[in-house]
Amino acid sequence: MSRQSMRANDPKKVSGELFTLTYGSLVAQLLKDYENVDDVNRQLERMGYNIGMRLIEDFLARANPGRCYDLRDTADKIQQAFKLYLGVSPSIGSWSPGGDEFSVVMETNPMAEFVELPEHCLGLRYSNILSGVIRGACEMVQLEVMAWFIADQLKGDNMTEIRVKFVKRLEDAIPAGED
Amino acid sequence: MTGLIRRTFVALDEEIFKSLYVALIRPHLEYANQPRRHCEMTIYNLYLFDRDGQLLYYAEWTRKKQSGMTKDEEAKLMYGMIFSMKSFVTKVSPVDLREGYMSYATNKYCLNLYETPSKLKFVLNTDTHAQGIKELLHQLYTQVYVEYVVFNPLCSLNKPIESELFATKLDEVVKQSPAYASRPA
Amino acid sequence: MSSNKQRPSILDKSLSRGKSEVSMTAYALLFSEMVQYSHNRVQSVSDLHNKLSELGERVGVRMVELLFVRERNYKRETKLLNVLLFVKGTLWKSLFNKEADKLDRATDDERTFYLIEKEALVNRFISVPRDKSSINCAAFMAGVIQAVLNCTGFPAKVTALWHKGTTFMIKFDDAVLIRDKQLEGR
Repeated sequence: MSRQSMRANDPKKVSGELFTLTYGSLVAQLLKDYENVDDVNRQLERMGYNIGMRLIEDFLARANPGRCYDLRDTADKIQQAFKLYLGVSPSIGSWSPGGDEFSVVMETNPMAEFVELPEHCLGLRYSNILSGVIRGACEMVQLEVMAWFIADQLKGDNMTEIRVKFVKRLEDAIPAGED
Repeated sequence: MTGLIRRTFVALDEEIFKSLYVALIRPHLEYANQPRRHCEMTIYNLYLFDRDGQLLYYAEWTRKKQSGMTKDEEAKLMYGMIFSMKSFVTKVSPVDLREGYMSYATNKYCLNLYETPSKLKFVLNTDTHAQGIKELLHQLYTQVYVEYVVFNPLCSLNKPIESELFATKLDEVVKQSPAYASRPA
Repeated sequence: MSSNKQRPSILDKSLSRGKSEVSMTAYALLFSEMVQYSHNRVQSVSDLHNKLSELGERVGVRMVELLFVRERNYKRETKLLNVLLFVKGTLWKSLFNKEADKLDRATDDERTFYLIEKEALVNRFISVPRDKSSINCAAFMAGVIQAVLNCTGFPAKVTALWHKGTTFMIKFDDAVLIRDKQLEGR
């Protein structure tokens, strides 16, 4: 179990530059592969979703976070995950009156260091992969959410803000051949 | 035992009954015929199901007899039983069940179910003396599944696992566990 | 919408020591998804290797710019061996926080070098295929190295092999060898 505790306390790191540049290279590839920016945004979201599905397993295994009983729990966990995986501490806020919607706000965005959007790519949601990650990870723990960017420093905003909205709880899959 | 199942599961369809029968009763019949052996601690076999009930991986160590079904059929019945038992057990539980771990024991073997919050299900059959199975299953999840499936770009999450590295590591961890190793000769 | 707001130019930001780190998990998963995306868009294993290499090259080009500005005060490398040591040391350290495990010269071909990394980050979670001919995700790293060598004036072809863990086979253009000999003569 010594390995276990090592994982929890001192997760291995890679250089932020390798990460940022690799992501940049991927986005550049998508811009090359797809005709229009909307398709790139969609593809980034889908890739994020796939990553989220895997990331949540690591998060559960590493942080052993227990189950979430309400959306505030979930928001806390998302905040914790940003810290753990991206080394940034976003703030959680702007709760909707019904408590079913909140914002994740980052002062700095590790996905987008060294990045400036060229004029013809202003429609690009460069970090859209993050909203996919949130959606994918939540879905694996029976939470259907929507996540989207409402502010982005690359577009001149003061901070980067992702909005997360609760949709519904998902139920257990029923075995094949039963109803 | 049959009566017990009948009484416990009110709305019992044929399939569930069959799976309960296979899991709960058959072992008694089978083992009853064997001469009494000295007590040994061991691990029989493992099923890993994904959230949709698909069998991702199966492994066995000291399984002394087979069910006579195809692997698919057996897996389907196993999942069906786990699913039904879980929902029933949760319903009748007098306290809130928050843990993803359950087990039942017959007088011959013990079935251990470890379910992650992401609904992966690890089912491990051991003998009734095996200790520390919950920890072992947690270890299989965190140190084998997460490491060698989740991080392997060539492993899809919703297809049966074919990675050899996964198979090797899983075997290693199981064989190193006290439940496996402390088996008297 | 946002275009009329005051935008600080990216040129105003400093390039200073990138001390930020992200977890290896995040990187491994991003990489994994990149491999799968590429995999879905190609027909053959060699196409996949080319695609990964291309993705790596973009990273390599930028690493050269960053490292030469930051660490070496714009000074370029002129000697073949030194540029290889730069790859093994400086480049590897800034990417992976460690030097590469080993650098060897081929005994039968003076243009060929082997850079060996026992447990390459990108191959860490992958079963080594028995026939050794299948997918090797280190093609991405090969692309990084190739771009770094090309950008520093040492054109080479870099291939990733399943050998002693992961081995990068670096094969320089003839011209590089000739120039290096001339430099030695001085």
